[in-house]
Amino acid sequence: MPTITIANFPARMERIRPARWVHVRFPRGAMFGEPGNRAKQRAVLEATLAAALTIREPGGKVELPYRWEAPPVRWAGREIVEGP
Amino acid sequence: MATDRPKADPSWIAAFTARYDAWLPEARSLIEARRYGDAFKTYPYPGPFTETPWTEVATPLDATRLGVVTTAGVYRRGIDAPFEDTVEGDPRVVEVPTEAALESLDVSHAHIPVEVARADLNVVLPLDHLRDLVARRTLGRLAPRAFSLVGYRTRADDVASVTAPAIARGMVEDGVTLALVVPV
Repeated sequence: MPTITIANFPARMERIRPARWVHVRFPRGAMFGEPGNRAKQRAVLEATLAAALTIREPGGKVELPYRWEAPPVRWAGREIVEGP
Repeated sequence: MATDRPKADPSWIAAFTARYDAWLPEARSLIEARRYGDAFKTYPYPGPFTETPWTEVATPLDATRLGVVTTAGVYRRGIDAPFEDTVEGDPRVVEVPTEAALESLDVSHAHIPVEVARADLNVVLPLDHLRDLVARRTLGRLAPRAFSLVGYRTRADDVASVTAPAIARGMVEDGVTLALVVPV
């Protein structure tokens, strides 16, 4: 079955080698963008689904242009705006 | 065009299991003390893999039946037990009906900032948007169930040989033609 993965941790994806994936630069636990930002969530989702059809080679990746536009997320003593 | 290569190579599993069994005794006490950095310095990470499983996407989106899997620990309030915070990670998979109202769902995951997902579950399981895409006929159909688990699972061998195949079987049963994977 074909898959499309949305991920924010490129080093891990390079190791795991999913069939197709999109790179989002959002923090851990918020893969589709800020809570309440419905327009951005929708754009990310639609771009991810579109990538499923445009990625033609195993391991192919699409970089999505969206960035976190809310205060940093506090996790494990750090403030993060992208990645794990 | 790439040739279909649908199955992942399982040859790494036996060696991982042996290394994992040697790693766990010392790591257990570190994990229980929340010293994850120290514990995972010596974790026998699988890979890097040299091959990628590949199946062509044969169906346009407006005819696709989409399956979804999230590792955000989403569960149904009052129906499913919350995922437990254990040394090796809770191995359960919860089936979330894709027509479920997001207000009926919650998140339990000791390794992500759950307050973000609790503020809006669409950030880890975008059901509102997926249902709208179906209503607008941009997306064909949603599978009747999404699969939810926690991404913190130290037994990568069990994930590869038990969890992932079970989810795949479920998606095949549901007629899924494309799977959206959301590791958080």
